[in-house]
Amino acid sequence: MLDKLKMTRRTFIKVAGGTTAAAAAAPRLLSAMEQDLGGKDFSPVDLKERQAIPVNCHVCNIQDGAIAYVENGRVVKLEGNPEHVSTRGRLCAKGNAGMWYSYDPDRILYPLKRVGARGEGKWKRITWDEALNEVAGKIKEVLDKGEPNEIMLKYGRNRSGGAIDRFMRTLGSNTIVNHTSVCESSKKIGMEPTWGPDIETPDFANTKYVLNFGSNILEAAYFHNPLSQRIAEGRVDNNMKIVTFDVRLSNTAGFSDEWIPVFPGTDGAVALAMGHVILREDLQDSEFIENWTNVSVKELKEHYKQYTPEWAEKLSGVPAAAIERIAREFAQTKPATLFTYRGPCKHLYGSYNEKACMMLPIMTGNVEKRGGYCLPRGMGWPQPQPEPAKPGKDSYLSHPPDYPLAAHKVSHLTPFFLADGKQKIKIYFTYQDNPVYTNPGSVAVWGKVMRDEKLLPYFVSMSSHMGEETALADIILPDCPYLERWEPESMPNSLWPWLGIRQPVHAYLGESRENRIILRDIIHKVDPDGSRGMKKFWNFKDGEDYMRQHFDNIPGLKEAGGMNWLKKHGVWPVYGKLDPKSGKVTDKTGREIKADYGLYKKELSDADMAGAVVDKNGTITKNGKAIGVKRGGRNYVGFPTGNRLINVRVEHWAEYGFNPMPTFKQVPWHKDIKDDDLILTTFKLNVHKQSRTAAVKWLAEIAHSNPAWMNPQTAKKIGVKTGDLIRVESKVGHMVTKAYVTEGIHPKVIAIATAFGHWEYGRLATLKLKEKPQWGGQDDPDLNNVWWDDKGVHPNAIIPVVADPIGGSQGWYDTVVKVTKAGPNDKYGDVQGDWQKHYEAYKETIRYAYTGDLHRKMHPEMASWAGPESLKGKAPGGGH
Amino acid sequence: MLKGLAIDVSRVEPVEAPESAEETRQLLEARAGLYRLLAGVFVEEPGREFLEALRRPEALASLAEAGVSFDADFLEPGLDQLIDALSTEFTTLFAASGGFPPVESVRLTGRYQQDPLFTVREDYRRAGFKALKGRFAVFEDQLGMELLFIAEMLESCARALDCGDRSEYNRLTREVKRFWTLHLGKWVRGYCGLVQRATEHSFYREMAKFLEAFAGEEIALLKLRIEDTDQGREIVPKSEIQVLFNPDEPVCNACGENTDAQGGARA
Amino acid sequence: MSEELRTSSIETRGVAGKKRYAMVIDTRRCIGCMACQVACKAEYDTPLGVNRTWVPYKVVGTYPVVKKQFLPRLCNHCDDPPCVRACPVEATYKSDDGGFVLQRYERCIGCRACMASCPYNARFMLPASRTYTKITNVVDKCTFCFHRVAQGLVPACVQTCIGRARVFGDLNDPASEVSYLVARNATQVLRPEQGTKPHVFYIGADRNHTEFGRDIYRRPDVLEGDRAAFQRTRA
Repeated sequence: MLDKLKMTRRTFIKVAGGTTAAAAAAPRLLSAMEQDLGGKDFSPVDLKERQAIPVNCHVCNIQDGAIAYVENGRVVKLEGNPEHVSTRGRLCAKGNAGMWYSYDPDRILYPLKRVGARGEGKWKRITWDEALNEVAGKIKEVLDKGEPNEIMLKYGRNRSGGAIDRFMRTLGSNTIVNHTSVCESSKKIGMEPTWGPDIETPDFANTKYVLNFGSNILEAAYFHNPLSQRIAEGRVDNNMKIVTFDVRLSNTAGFSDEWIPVFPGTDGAVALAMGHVILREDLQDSEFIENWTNVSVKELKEHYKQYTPEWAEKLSGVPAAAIERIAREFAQTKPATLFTYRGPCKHLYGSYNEKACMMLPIMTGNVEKRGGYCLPRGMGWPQPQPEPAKPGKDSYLSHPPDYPLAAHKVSHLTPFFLADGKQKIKIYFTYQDNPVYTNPGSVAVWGKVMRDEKLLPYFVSMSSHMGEETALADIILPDCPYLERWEPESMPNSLWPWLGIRQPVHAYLGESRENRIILRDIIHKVDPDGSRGMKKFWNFKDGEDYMRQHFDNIPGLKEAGGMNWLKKHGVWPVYGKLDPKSGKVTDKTGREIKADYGLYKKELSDADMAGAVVDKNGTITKNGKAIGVKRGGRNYVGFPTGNRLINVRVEHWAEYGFNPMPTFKQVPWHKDIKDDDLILTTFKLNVHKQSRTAAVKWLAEIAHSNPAWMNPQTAKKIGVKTGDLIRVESKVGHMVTKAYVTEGIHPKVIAIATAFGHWEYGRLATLKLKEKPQWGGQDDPDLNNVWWDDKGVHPNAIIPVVADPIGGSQGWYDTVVKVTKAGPNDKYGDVQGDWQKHYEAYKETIRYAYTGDLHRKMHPEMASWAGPESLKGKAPGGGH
Repeated sequence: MLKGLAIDVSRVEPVEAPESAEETRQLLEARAGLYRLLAGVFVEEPGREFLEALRRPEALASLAEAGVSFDADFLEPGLDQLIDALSTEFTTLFAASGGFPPVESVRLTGRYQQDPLFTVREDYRRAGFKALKGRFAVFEDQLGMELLFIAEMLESCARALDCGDRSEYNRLTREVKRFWTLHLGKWVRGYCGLVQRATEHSFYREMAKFLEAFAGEEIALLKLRIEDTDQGREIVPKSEIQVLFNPDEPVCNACGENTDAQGGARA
Repeated sequence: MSEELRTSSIETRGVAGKKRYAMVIDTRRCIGCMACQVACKAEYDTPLGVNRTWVPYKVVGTYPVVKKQFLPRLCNHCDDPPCVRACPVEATYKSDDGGFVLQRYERCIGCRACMASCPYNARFMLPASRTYTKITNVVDKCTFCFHRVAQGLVPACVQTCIGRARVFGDLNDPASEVSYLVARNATQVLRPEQGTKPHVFYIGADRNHTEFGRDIYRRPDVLEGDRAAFQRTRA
């Protein structure tokens, strides 16, 4: 029998009073009808619904999920994919303008062969057959000589999902060079030996405190759109505080609760001093340090004693009191996280700086916690079979012996290595790269080497647009922009792993073809009958077929429908529904989906443990390889490093005479910087990427020129105001540009944005349409409305090379310059760099390599190191 | 919109053949031939046979009569050399970055593969044609393709006359007019002017001149009134740029004490 | 069905059975990424030099205590719009269901009276050249993406807003997100003294934004706004 409950109005009130919290937590299943956040689109003219094709954005490399809306066979609108867990239906300004690449009248649609001198701009259209025969003929010549390493390929943005590597392996060449050393490679090298992956994923949405060292995440950096969403959410919905250290008031610094200007390259010193304060005041997470790192708290405290806030103040200009205060705030607010980007790492000893920064979340135990400093979550996919083997013979250019720790290569030194005859190159392929514009020295260095037919006898560019580099090619094979390509994708741009697909929204325009088809056709010409053993690796009908070979057999995705699922949704898995009320991804009950944390604490299964050995430190080894760590009687998987721990001490670095512990080295030429000298730094704006967006009219309208930022104090000293011409002189050249006087910059810094001042890249980027009496003007009637006539000035020609002896990265922000009011003979837009002086700068920077004479001088603490000779015969090994 | 215009055009009285049927027929064939000739010039790089035929004295003489006079750069070099020079010039003008593709979408909307392409493709389909690939893939709204289409239509007209099918002849004539009104007429004349100014080779200069004159004649013959939307746009003098603010206005630090006035709403 | 209101003073707020759309812009969440501005250009083929929505910024403070602030701008879809009053040919009207302030291009004679009357400088004259839309030489403005809203979608700028600073919805529905935000936060409107009853509400817009930062009402040269701001702080 059931007891009948007795209810009165009094009990109502009582019960309701006591259960307010519970009532608030109960799922709310009725809500106001809100407008949908996307997934559909209609023409504003005739209200017809447009066809939606999910793609992966690729204006930059954040890899947002997107939807292309197609009307009458052409893309008219791009939106974020609402089913994408990272992007959540939103795109940045660049992503919204991506369709301009496809229909650009300056796009290259046919194979072009150079007529006249390199860079003269005269071309002859040839058929694919002629083009492929020519390229294959050149390749065969090299192969028949038995020197496949003389075929070189350098790529900028490679999202081919392995096709580029497959091509070079097929040819048997190891000379494959990326662009990472002008990007963030020293950040990667700072992180990888320490905890495994090359990037962190801060849980911004759930954190209470953010330390941001030199990342401009709200404008650029990995992963601008998805992480910016979480930062806005964290700030407003979770009341987090964000503190940014930067030399310049970027949008991120301007958005932050505190902007702390630092002297360039000294972020590491500030981070070490914060570590000093945390350890001195015993605010560290001792349990985490003892269990999960390869040092003890005692060792760490001992090591950090030297890094006092007063020492850091002298170097960085950040008041010791501020360092102490922020250190305490960071250590005592839980959860807290940290993010860095190019600010700390793009210096001579950038790897040390990165390491110093990442120590903060490690020593406070914020690693892999909700709201903390998390490991990246990505997903892999299998390669089509069979796969070519890795070529045996190593190549100087891809592994320069002076930089054995630079696992992401030292691409920006390539022209000097070539000029020095370190390696002979017969054929140079380039793919989505533009070093003539983007690298240090730009046209003064790369322009010179690429025009030299002795150093680079044959130059093939696979490109959809006439960039500064492609303009110097011998033959251009027309690649297509991202909306016409098949490509697999995955990026750790939120705490939820995903696989995505880029699919063509329409057929290739003209005779352009996607890269993997071009590569396949080259191989088929080189090895038409399969006798060279190459053809079998290139066995696919088209891009879609190749993609199926990636995606049809992934567990989980296979059951969901494999490739067909991806074609329909663009991304897998779909974690939930985008809630129009909150803009967040929600599960079936309407609650926001939750991420998994504590990945390193995943326990090993019995099967994993079968045959494994546990040593006295708790390291679990199986078949000679560490597979986990035993702690408190449990077998954890640990971190993806050699010993499954966080390596605060990187033994491998010590072998080469580098300090294995967190340390800081000031850029030597910054030490006695003269009163009237400044440091030149460069930066990206939110509406542009490095070199490929200047021809997109909506983006160019928002930002088209790049006056040099300087502090009013500095401007007063040299007597200029905003708009005045200034002359910026470095040891390798000079430029003339306009000044922009702003309170938002360190007085010892001058900052010039990149992405402007193109001399190729079509008529809008170069503003040729404003030039008289040039022909070839305009097609888009809207270009009549172009109201600006300033295309900016590109600074790279006056920036010398600097290579981090550990990470191999370019020290973009180390250049000392003298800034004066422009003289009577200085013209706006003048840029001049001197090859000989750039070459001297290369000779200088190589002295810091572990083989160089300045290495020991910079490392007095490593006096007991046996010297480079002790490593003779040892195979160079990278970070991982 | 397309439909509406089509009806408008069809209201125009069909041309009554002024001369005898045979004369009309001859005229149709002559016109079709000229369309084919011009298509040969613009659809891709001129081939060996085409140039050989064009350089024959009788061809040159008849072209000269129409006022087309080539310079030495066309008349003198050996055939291989000429083919090479014209290929390069064709690429520079029409097929490489920085040129100005003879493609209607580009000329009228500034981008490849826009509305004109789809309407042209539809026109071809209705008339029972589909585009083939030549030496290179070519857009349906490329100049050469559009000229070839008219040539085909005129030849069909002639065949209709042969069969005595007057209504079919009238329908096809209307189609030709419609196509000129909606496509060629909008951009060809202005574009020819641009080619003449830009090219460094007398072949393209003269052929563009010829096409421009021919287009004028055709429009008159078809009794059409079409405004040239293209106008051979190239450089826009700054004074003609219509903007709502003055781009020459100095940036603010240079505008002195007046910032408050400037800061107010501008009516 | 929606009715075209050509008398500007008829209230659309709180009318039973009718919607009153509004936008809430939370400046604390705006990161100044310009996605909204570009999405809007793509949605409407808006020519260069004019914008339906735009994001001026300002740098305030003196080194080293400096901040950057953004204030997304668009038509306020006023409940008492001066432009409707000013239009001599009834080309501009307000819809009674939804409260959109819209433009009928075929009636517009291009006299610019509405532009002069708008205290927010949210209207502009379309130039003669556009990429593919044939409507030119008449006055245009933000429509709150009427065509999208009618299909149950948010406006394009709200759709792409990375920081989710822009929220759009029906203010007549007390359960909607905009109603919630307006009820629970201190909100500001631009130029309240003009009595226009704007329906774009800001959260966290301080006096730097709304009071002496009048240059936010200027149009495309707004990106230079911070320079003017500096002159003021230094003076």
